[in-house]
Amino acid sequence: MTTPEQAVLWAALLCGAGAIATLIPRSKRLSGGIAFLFMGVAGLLVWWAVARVLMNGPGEPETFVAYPAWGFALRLHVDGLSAVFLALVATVSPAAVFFSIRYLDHHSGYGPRRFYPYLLGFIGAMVAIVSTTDTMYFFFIFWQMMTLTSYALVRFEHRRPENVRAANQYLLMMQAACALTMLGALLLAPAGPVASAGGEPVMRFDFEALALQMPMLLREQRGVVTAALLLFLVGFGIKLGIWPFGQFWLPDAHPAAPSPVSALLSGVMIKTGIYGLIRYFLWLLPEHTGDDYPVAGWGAAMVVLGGITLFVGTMQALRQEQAKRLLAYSSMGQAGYLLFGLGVCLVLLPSAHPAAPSLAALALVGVLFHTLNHGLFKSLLFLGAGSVQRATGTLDLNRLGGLLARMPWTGAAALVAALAISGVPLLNGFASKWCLFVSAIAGGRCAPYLPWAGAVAILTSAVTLACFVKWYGMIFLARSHRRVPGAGADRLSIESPWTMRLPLLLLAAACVALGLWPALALDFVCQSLQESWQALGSGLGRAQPWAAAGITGIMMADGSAAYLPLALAAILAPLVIGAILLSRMGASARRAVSPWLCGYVREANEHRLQARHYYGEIHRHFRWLGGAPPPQPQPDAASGSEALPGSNPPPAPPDCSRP
Amino acid sequence: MSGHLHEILARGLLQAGAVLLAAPLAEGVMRKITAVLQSRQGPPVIQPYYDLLKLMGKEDLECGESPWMQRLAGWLALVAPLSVAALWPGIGGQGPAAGDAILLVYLLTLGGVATLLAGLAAGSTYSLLGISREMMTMMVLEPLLAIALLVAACHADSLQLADLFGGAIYGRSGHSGSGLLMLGVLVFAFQAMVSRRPFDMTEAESEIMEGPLMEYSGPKLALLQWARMARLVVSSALMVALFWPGGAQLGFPWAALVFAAKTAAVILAVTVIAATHVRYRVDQAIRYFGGMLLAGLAALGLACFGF
Amino acid sequence: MKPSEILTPIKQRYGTAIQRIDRLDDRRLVLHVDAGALKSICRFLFRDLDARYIAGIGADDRPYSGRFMVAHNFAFDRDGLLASVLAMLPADAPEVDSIAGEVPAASWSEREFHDLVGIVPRNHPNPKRLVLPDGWPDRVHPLRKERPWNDRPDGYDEDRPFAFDPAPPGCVVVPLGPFHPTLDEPAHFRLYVDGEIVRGCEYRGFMVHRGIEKLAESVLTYNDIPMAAERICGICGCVHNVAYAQAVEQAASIPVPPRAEYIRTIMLEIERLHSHLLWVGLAGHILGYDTLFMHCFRIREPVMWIAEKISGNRKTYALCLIGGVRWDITPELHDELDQVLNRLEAQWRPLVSALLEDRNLRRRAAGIGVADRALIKEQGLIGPVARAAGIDIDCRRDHPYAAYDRVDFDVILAQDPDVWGRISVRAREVFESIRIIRQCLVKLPAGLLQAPIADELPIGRIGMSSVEAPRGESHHWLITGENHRPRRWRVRAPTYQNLQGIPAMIRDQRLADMTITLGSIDPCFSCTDRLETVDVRTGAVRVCPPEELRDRLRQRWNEPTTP
Repeated sequence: MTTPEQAVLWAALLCGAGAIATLIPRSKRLSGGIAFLFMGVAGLLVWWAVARVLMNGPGEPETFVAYPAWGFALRLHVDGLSAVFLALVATVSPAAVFFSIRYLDHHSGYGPRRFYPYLLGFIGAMVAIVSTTDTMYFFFIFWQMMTLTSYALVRFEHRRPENVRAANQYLLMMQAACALTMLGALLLAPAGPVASAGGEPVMRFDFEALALQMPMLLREQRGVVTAALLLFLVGFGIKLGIWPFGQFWLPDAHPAAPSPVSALLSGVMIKTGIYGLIRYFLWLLPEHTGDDYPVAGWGAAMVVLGGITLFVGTMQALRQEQAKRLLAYSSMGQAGYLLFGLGVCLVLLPSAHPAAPSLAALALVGVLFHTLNHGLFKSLLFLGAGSVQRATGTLDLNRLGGLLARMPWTGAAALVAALAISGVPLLNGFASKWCLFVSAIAGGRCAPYLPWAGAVAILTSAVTLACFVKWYGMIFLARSHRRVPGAGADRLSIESPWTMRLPLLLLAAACVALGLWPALALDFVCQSLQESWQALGSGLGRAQPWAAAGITGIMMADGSAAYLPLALAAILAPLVIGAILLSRMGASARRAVSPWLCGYVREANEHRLQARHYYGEIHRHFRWLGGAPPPQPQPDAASGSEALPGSNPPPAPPDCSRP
Repeated sequence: MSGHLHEILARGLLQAGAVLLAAPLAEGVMRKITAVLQSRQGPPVIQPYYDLLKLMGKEDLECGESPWMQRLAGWLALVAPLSVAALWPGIGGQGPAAGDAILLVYLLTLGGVATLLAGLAAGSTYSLLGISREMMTMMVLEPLLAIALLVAACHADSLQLADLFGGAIYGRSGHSGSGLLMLGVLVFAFQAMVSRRPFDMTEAESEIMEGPLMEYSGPKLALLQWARMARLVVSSALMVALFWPGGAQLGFPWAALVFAAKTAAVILAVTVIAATHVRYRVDQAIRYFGGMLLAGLAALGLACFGF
Repeated sequence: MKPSEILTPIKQRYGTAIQRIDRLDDRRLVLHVDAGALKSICRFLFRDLDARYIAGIGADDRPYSGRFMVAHNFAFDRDGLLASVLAMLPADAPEVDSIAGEVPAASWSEREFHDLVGIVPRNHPNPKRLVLPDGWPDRVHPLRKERPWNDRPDGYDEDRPFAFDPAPPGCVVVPLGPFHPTLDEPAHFRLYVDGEIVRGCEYRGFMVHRGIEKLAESVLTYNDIPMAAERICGICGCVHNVAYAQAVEQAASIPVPPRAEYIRTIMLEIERLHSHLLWVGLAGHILGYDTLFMHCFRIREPVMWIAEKISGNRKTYALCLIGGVRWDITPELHDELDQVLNRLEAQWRPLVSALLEDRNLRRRAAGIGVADRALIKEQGLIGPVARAAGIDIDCRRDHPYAAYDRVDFDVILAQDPDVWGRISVRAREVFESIRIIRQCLVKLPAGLLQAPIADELPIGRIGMSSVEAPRGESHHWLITGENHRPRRWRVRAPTYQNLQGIPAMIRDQRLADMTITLGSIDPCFSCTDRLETVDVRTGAVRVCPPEELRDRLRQRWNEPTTP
């Protein structure tokens, strides 16, 4: 029977093989098909590994290659925590690759051989990096594989200088993160190989070796531990995109990459940052570290840093005028939620309060749940933006509008994602935010400042709503810009082909499902936590943070908080039906008209509100936060020409058909 | 819990229905009082019912490029405040609920989201100006309400609505500083929460012609207006539940009547303030709300440390 | 200064360019000048002698002199002098140097005579169409004598759009009007808005221009015109009625009996009362303060009823004929008017003190719609807009007419050049009006209501009259003519000048301040456009059968006047 570790290794190797296979064909679609074939099988393998870990518990780490003289070994271990992130990779990646098959059509002049090999390599490296136990050599190898391939993907459209600049920035920051993290591991590593708990000798840079070394370091060299943790926080923080590091690379790199890549960067790759932080803070430190080492202090630092990140990132997103750039800033804001939740968890862990363990567990579960959720809806948003770009040739919010009528499927899926990320109840974003908020507010019993931080997080979620109202409204609602293909014509469809719609709809379905049955994901995450190594975090798995409600939902075990989405849905459904019946009661006739402009002028482009006109008063007060949008290429209004400098010419809409 | 589903449903729908039916009456009373303040005779108290009925049968003009979204927005707008009513834990009693304070805040926001969608789907310049204003207001006001609930949560050590209502905000001592400060903040911000003068710049008939609602007519307008009335009732009841305890021990009919009377008193206060103030400009309002928000955060800080 | 003191420096400077000087009386002056020197002389009057620009007039004088005529009117407010600078233009090339570059206040007047008479202002800074509708053919000028009053020109193009200026970069265009809740009459503002901030605007009005002036010089006769003039405006109709009558009387040197002068004063002040009360309420409504609106209207209503008792109409009093008035103030009316004034004062005084102490209102209205002294000078802004900025002008005192020189009153000033200042000025002017009416009632002399006019009026005389309407100075200018009607009659309502200041007043303000800024000049587009209009603010729009209307009127007559 194949072990999960073998399955994961096979999956990574399959990705590598796929990378080589996709070098051969010239056709974009064929290349995409091959890539999806490899990716699909790899994804199934990963899911299989995840399922095995959940059902049978984690096996022993497995060593595949070893050079003891160099302290160099490829040792993989799939435990519960890895399983969560593997599940995320295995869900989002196939969707992104499948989406790419037709999406790539509109990148004329850029061949598939610069795309699929890197894409598959990138995914393979992500699979590997959340499974490896080596903190030095293979960590470096996988990190570089992940970084270099994604670097190539970010500069995919290399003829645009701003993309190359963004890619270079990205590369620089990732190398810095890599160096810092490895330096941290170097500080903690023992002098030579040690014997593992199972009696097996492990290399000095193996994670297990570091963990074994930890109690001694905590007793004798606390300064070293603190320095190493600081290095990890900064290193993985750069990856996660926390303030102030994220601002240097994230908002430029995400929009520069093709949309499926942005989806993976934002939905999956930056999550390796929170993976690293959880792994190093919760699974490197031994159980009961909190008794004499200020774990809560680290937690407080993360709460503060997370709070700043989520507020600043979201506020900056509010100012953006380009669809993907707004999403990129919002990713930083959401990353702030993750760091915030981890901080809450660390603050609560050492507390002696009887409710603390279950609250800490709820916080960590919230972080992992939100990681999954953000992976789902943010990749959906990026893919949606990609569909829009393919259909209209632009991502400038000022030149879109009214697309819901023209791409109804894409619009509906994007609406689900936009509402989910804004935290609308019955969707998944609300459920995970609920976990984070409840743990922070109820955590006030143990650390009085937590509710205050929770209030800042709630405040930011209103800003998130504002961001996505603007994002969704300017793309899919309002009035269409005259450059939108089919503007003027009556509901001309520019909907994407079904291969691009399908991944969107599946991701949207996942958002709804997890929103209605959050217990699905919570049980999964909780199961994962129980199936992981014994360390600081392992107690969390045992502290069942909620009572499984009969109506699938979440309920704090002590009854102080509850969220039962199915019961809510049961109430909402008759209310909605009632509202529909009320509105039909008078049997009034419907008539389509054009908007009222006070009766003299006719509707024209210049009456469209531009992105910068939204929320002017808020921007006026928060200008000091920075994040001003870069100047957009101005459309040459006089000639009305469609070709914009430096952008892809909009293709003839492929599926122009009147419904 | 599963045994409670039918109970949750029955009570929820009952309460939602009550709010739905009572909301136009509250509006009618408001209009009458306003008329008296303006030395007018005013319409009959049940005029809002006639108005809604009339609108239900009027022609429904749809100017948006996505009329489905306009319809959805109308339904959603009415459902949001009613769902809050449905979640209400019952006067004084500890009833089963499908959610807690956080859900309540988000459901109240959902009503705002519906207005935003309505404005965006209509897409006229004035609608969009209106939704920009509406969103700016929501960005500051929604957290304010959340903070009030959090202050109560800090004192009650719970997020269940039944534990938060009935004076928990004043702490075990019955007069905590944070609770009183929060009361002050919400009294000053309340007009805005129900978007009545002086904070009705979202609609501002004399500037942007009802903003998000300007493109709506017929049954959709009826739903949106009904939603606005229901929101007034629900928000006023929320104020009473949070800040004005007493009367719960009176038993079934009397407790409910006392609660209704207190809610009516809050609505009366809203009316009087609305009739005697000049509309604020959106920048003035935002600055004002910003101050309120800081005061609210200060109150929460106090509450965190037990004051 | 007497006219001679003003004339001396002009004569010294422009000796030969001045062809003739007519001194109509001590307070009216007409300078006939060379067309080539017109611009320079206007600049000299406006800049060096600090005259206030009133209006520009273009006329087709070809049937009489074979030439076109252009005139610019100036006021020397401190000296009580109105001056008209007049030049004749050749019939084949009616062109004149534009003075709008030197005298910005003249911009609309020049655009207007370009549209209506076809006199081209050379080098006008903004030579766009002002008055004529968008679809009107370019070379048809309705005020030329050869065009009939009911002309329907060929080539009217219904679909021709107006060429608006391009919006500044980064701005959205927000149309305001012609149908907007705060615009009671049609006009279109094209606002350039950046977020909530208005960066500029373009005005397109004159949508209801029906050519009353053309009607007057082709169809009506001297004594018909006062009734038509009254219908220029639904609020300050009496002002136009009086101003026109006075212009004719001055041109033809007709003495008006003193009793008629007093009655004119009383009616003008009654009109000011109702207008100010209405406007304060309306300002409240625009600011979202409907309670103020309702109370103002309650307090105002008795004023309307007493006007109805005097003239038979709530509005549109049909007061003047040439040389007198049509309605008398009987002793009964005398007492009743006195009571109305007492009650009004008793109700208005507490309201004003509450209003002026309302901190919310002040915070909302202060600092917006600012028209500083420079803007007032450049654009010739008048009335409460100027007085709120502390500029001490009031035609009732500066260019006295009717019985204003025989009553004692204060010119109300404020030192806030913003909306707040205008609210304060207009709220307090009500008390001065009450004071004036009371004095008139006391001093009302016995005598004729109407001067006997035996002869036909002289021909070719120029008349000028400025009357202080509630919103500012209304100016009428005319030349008497044949067939019992003027050759040319030009009306310049106060809004005509004040509107030209609006773009500067709203620049870089918030959109929310746009409507109240516009409201603060009390725009009367019907005055500006000069049409027959119904007072939509007070008049019932409902159509009811005549019997019902009669019954209701009877019913009201029988009711006691106290509400």
